[in-house]
Amino acid sequence: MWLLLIAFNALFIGAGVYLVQNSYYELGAILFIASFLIDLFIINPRAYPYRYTIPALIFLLLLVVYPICFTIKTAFTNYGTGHIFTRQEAVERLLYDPNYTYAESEEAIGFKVFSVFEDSKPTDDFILLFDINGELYLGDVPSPSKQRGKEILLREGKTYKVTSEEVSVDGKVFKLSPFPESLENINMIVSADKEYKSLYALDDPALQKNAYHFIMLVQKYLANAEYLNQDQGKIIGIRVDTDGKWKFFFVERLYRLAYREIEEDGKVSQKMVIVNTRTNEPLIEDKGSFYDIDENGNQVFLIGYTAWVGLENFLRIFTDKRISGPFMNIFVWTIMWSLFSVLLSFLIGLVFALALNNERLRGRNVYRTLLIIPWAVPYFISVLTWKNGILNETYGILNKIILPFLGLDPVKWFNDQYWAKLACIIVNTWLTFPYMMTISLGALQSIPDELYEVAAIDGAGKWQNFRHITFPLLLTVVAPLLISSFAFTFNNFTLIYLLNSGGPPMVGATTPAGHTDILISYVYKLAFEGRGQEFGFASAISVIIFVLVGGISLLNFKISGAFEEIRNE
Amino acid sequence: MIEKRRPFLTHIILWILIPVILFPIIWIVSTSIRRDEAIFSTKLFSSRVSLQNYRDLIAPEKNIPALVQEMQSLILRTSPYDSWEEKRLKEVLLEDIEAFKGYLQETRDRYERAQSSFDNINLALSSRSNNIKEEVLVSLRELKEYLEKNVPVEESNEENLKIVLYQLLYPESYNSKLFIYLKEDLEKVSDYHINSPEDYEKALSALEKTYQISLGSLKTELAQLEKKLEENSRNYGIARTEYEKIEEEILSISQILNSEVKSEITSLLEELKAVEIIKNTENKLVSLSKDISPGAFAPPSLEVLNLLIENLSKYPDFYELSNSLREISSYLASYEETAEGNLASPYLVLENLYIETSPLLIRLEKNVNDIQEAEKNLIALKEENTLLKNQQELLREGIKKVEETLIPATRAEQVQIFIKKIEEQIAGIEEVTKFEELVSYCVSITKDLLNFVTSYIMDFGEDNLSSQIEATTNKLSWFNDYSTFSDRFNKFSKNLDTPLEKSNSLISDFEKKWADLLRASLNGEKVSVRELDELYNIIKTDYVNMVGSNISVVSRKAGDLMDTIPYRELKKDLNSVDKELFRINQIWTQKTKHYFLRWVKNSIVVAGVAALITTFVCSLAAYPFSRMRFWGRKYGILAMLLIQMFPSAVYMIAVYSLLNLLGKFIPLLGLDTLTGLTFIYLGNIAYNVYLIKGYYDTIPSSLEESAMIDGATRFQTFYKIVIPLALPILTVVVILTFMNIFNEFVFARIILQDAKNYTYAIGLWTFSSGPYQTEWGLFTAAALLGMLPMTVLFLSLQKYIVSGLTKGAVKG
Repeated sequence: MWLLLIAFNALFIGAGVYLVQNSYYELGAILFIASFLIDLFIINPRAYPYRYTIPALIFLLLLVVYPICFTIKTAFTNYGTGHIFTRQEAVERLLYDPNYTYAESEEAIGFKVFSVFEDSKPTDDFILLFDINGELYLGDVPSPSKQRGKEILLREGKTYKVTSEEVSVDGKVFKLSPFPESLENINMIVSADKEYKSLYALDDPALQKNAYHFIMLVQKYLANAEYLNQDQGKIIGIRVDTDGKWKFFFVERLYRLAYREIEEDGKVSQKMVIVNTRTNEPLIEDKGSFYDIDENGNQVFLIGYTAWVGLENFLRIFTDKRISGPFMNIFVWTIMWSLFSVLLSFLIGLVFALALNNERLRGRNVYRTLLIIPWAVPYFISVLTWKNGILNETYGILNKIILPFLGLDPVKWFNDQYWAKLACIIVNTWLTFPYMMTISLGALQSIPDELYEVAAIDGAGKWQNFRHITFPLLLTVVAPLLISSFAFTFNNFTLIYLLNSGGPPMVGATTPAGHTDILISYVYKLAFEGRGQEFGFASAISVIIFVLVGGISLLNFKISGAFEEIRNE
Repeated sequence: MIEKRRPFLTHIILWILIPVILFPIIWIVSTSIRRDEAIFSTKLFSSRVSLQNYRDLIAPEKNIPALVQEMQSLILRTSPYDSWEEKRLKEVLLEDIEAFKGYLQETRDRYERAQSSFDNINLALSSRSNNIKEEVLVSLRELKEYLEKNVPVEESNEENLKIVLYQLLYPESYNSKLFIYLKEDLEKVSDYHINSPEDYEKALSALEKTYQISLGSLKTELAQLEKKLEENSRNYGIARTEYEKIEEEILSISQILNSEVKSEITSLLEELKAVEIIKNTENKLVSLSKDISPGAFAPPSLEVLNLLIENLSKYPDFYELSNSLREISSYLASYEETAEGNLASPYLVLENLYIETSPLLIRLEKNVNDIQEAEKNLIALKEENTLLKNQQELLREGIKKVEETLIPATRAEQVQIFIKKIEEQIAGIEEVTKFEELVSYCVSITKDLLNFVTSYIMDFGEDNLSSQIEATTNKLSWFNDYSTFSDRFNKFSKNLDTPLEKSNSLISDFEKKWADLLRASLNGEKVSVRELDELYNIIKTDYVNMVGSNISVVSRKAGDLMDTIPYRELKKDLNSVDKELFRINQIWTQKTKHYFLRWVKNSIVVAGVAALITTFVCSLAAYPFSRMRFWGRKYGILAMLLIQMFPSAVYMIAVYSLLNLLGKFIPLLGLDTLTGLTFIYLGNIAYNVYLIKGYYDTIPSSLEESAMIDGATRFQTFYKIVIPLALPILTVVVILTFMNIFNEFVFARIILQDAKNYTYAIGLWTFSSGPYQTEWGLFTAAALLGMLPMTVLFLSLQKYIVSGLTKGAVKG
């Protein structure tokens, strides 16, 4: 039991430390909090009741609290396409990624690849032989030296000078044969138990049949590898030459770390910066991006990372005209859509509820069950049916059969913005009126009969009954539910996305906005469907939704008296 | 009394409304069992039903294309067969070949059955050929009688009739059909007995008089008018070009005057002005006047100048020019007055100017006169044109009016012609003995009827007469269907043999060879199987083009015939033809690939596992809230509920990047994995805790207390006493969570990418878009399969769902 706890702690804290090191601060903090709470609950006997809630707590923290924190944080960053990495990752890439190197000279280094063959098929066990200015060097399989997760950023290999027939590499002896000979003629290298046969060389026509395997080796091991040549103090790397073939060159890294004196706020301080090795100028770092200066003095974007941008995402909504226009449209439509859907479905539901709330009506349970079916059918199935079968502009039975039958023209249910909006409201009303009917029915049944009896004595008519007794009493019960329905409809992503994907698209918007998009589907499009993934901006809108929905919910709790209910328990 | 009637009315209204409201559901059910391609059909429902869509979804059959593809893969040993052993490969290949042969045999059997049903139909129809003939005749005669009775003859106005007849007949010769049809009327109207072409001519000329009086004269007048109009417009065109020519010339002259001449004049004027200045400085005046030698033409020049001014000032275009000249003249005049002597140089210039300008001016004058003439001419022509047009309009209106008065007569004659046509057809049919001939006759009759009725409706609008004809057309329309049906069936039966024979020989060739091929393939050689390639070609092109297309038409027509044919007893055979052919098509056509079962399985696994874990976690967490006292007990659940009020869809980005991050370290929890998706679904806790806690509260705690007295620990009492007692609510929670997750779309959509990993929700979504969009059968069947259990579960757990929504309604 205690061992389990220790192991658990070790896992959580270890992971937490790792995450914090790699700048995933929120998740790390969540893990720390979780392990602290768990320890507290288990060690402290007075916290016994909490022990039962541990699993629930973990899931809640990880899957609800963390995402909320993450969203709020992301809203203040530029996270998105071009700014995916953390700063550290971006720096590592600049320092190690083979993309950021240059060939020192255009002269390629002669090389030959040897591989162990199994059943006359080459394997991944290989050795390289370089010919540098007439001297032979042996190169081993490069081993990973920089990793991030499962991704290998950099591999490093070593070269060993061939001075005699036998070369010793980390205690293993490799024997070249025939020897001494030039690179072309050496065709076998024998180590203790393995035979390496020649696999590939650039100019050897007999070996070209293995070119495919060689390219596979390049992609697997060599593309991100660096060989250090001690004698010359230079790095050898493989690059695609101008003729499209992979060749080895002496390469040099474009960027390195250096200490520079930086003037900041009038103070001069020593600071670690990234320097371009050719120009010896530090890189410019601005708003989560690294820029280099090219020969013409222009800033060239190198790599971006996730950085704080403060309120910029929120300001963009209001200041950038091409965004604020669509955003306001979407915002207004979101509210209209929620309002009309809820009111319309409530109205229809109420009418049915009043009809069914008649004890003389026989078989009203059957009617009720039949009328509930639109609600009972899984949501997405109904929406897809409406979209594909009924409203489809060319095949849909409404346009193809029913409207012509009534002598009406086909309607652009998806491509005309007003009809598309109407279609959304119709479908949503169809889906939700049974819910409204059910809650109204419940509320109607809770109205005591005595009230009507008293009213009958006073000579009230049917309409007066409804106007002065039924409706006000109904509303007190139903109002909170209507509000929460409003909040639900406000975020009804599934319907909007499945029915029309928010189409038809708005003209002239820089972001992927459509006329029937509501805020949440707009967030989705920004994050997953636009030209780039604008997570930061999308999160900012999510936060706005948070605030709105949270406000509505709190208001709702106040109205429904949920606080009192709990307090009185 | 009113109280009692109301529920009755409510019943009626509900009975009308409920089918309308549930229409999408009805549509799903009816479309899923349709045998035809519902998406292209113009009918809402179809009587041709089958469960084929369900079979395709649940147990897709290895039909002929699938078999060929599988054999191909088996021989070539592509994945997943590359890891199979030889024995297994052989077994499956043998099975496939047998199955293939079985399908060929089945095709033949079914074809024979279809053929015999088809023969039955033909036989049955031929045997009652006479009856059918009689029936056709009866309905045609009925129509004829009806038409004769209801011909809107306008006896009162014989003139109109005459006109109409003349219009119809004058382009026709004596032997034409139209004349034969209308002979009777013609004789009646014209009082001639027409026995020869001469009589015909005479009768026509008699009619012509009447025609000429009303319509004919108008028409000739119109023709004349039109001729005049044509001439007028031709003249207008000529006049126009003339006018333009003159206009051009004037323009060129005025351009010369306004540019070249004007510049000369301006420079002269400037010179004179300069002289004026000099004149004012007296001294130099003498020296200037010395240079000026006396000329002979001083006074006349001024006259010339004035003439020029006069001529020019006629045209407003040269206003500036004449003004400048006027200025010059005033200068010169002033010199004269002061008698300063002659100013030779300006006069010289003026002289030249005059010589230069006067021919231009003469031409201009002539041209201007000409253009005025031309303009007058043009205007006159135009006026004539409008006049003529007005007349034409009037005439046309007159003709239209006359023609309108003729409509009843025209209609009568049209119907008359039509009656004669029908008579002819009837006569033709009466002589028919063979059924085939009858069919072709009826097909042409229905075509005629249809043509007539459409043109009739276009000219005279819909009325009883047209609907009567339409009714007869509908009665006879099955002949059309039948003719296409039998036509296509014959084509199909002719075309079926070749692919069948070919396939048969190919498969027996393959049967001889496959063992060798497989061995070679197992030895690592690259083999190609010619027979299978050819077979695939036959299926993909020969069958589809020659057989499949015919089958679909035959099937459709069989379905139509079932509704339209008046002989119910043939329905069985028609149905059999349809059924057999449908099956043949199912055997031979390639099916679209899908992973429906896998999707359902994915959904069930994900939702099931997540539901079980969630319930377990929640049952634990709910216990202390029900039984113990601790800090946070009051607000704990409320706080959780509040946190979960935030719709989960809002933090999809967070969830996406959480899985992205986790996937780097624990691949099992990465993006595009079902385990990752399951993990994401575990966050749904607050409401379930609330629900379970409520149930725990109803379990009396005395049971636990007594157990604890017996020495049980708290935890033991929990899982030995509370959990078993709370099983009902736990089941409900499992089912509810299961349903919620089964119906979830957003997260599944962003997390899953590979089609094999899709859940049912995403899978169904792909059925409604892209290549599957038109396969309504598959879509609706899949929808119904998913919908049915969920709906039943929902309806049975209504109570909990409603209370759940009233508590945590905001949760998305």
